[in-house]
Amino acid sequence: MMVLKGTLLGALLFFLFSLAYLGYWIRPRVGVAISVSTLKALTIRDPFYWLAFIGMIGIGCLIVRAWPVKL
Amino acid sequence: MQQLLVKLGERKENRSMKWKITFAFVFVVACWLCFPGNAGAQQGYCFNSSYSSYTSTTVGSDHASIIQTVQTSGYISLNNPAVWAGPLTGWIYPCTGSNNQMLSTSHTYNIRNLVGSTGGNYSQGPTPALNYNTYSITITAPATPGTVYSSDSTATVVCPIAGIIFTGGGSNFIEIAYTRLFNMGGPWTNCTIGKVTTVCDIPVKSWCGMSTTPPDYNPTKVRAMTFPFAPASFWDAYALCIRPLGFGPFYCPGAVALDLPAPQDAVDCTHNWQ
Repeated sequence: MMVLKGTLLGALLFFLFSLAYLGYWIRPRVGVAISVSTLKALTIRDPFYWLAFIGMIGIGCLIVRAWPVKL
Repeated sequence: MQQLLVKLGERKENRSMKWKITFAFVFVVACWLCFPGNAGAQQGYCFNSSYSSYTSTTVGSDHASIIQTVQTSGYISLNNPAVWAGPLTGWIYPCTGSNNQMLSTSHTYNIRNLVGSTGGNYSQGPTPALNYNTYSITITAPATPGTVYSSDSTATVVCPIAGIIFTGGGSNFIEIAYTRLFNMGGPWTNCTIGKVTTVCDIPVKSWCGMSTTPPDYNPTKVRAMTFPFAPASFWDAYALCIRPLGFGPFYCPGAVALDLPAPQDAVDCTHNWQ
C-alpha cells in the first residue's frame, strides 16, 4: 500500500515537473506551432527525463515512508 | 569592492527574477488547467448551489479525431434563516419544509457531449442532493481535417424540487485545420539554451495553394530544436480551431507541427474563411 501511495504521489510530482519543464522549453503561445520531433526529443528520447521520472517516484515513496497517511 | 558587491546584487536580483518568472509560469499553467469553463455559486434563499462545468477539446494523435471531455461537478448546501413573524408567532423557519425535502431528494446530472454526429445525451443519477458529485463524459469523434463540425458541451443539473439548478457549457463550431509551413531561415528568436539542447522560435510562412491562401491556421513561428539537430525545412501543422459564433475567423489556440523533408510542393490547406 505504501508503494502504491508513493508511486501515485511520485506520478503527481512528475506531472507537475513535466508541466514546468515543458513550459520552460516550449513556452506555448498562440500563433506558434510546436514541433512534435522537438517534444519527443525533450521527453521520451531524453534519458534525463526518464531519470527524473524514476527520481520523482523515489521521492514520492520516500515522502510516504517519512509521513505515512492512513486512508 | 563596492562595484563587485553591486554586480553580485544585480546577478542575485536577475536570478530571483528568473525564479519568479518560472514560478509565475508554472502557477499560470496550473491555474489554467484548474479553471472551470463555467462555474456558479448561486446564493439562494433556502439553498446555495455550487456547481461548475469544464470542457476540454483536443486533436487525437492520429490528427483525424477530436477528443472532447465534458465534466460537471458540485453540490448544494442548505440555508435555514430565521424570520420574525410578529409577536404572536415569534421566529419562524420558512425553509424547514423544503430543507427536509432536499435531504431526501436526489439530483440528476445531464451532459450533452456532441461533435458532429458522434456523441449524444448522457445522464447520471439520481445522486443524493447534498453530496458532492462529479460526472464526466469523454467522446472520440472521427474528424476529417478541413471539415467544420458543430460541437455541443452542455451540462445541466436537475433537481426534482427546484428544477434546473445549473447549466454550463454551450455549443460552437470546431475544425482540425491543416497547414503546410516552410522554414524562412531566420532570425531565430526567443531561444532557450541548455547544456546540450537549444530550442528557438523559427519564422515560417504558409505553403498552400493559391485557392487556400491564407489558411485558417496561419502561424508565424514554429518552436523547434536548433541544436544539436538543425530544424526541418517544412512542417505539416495541425491545429484545433474554434469558431464560437459559427461565422468569422477561427481561433486556434495551439498546434503541433510534424517535420517534413525538403523539397515539398505547396498543398491545399484548410481554408473555410475569407
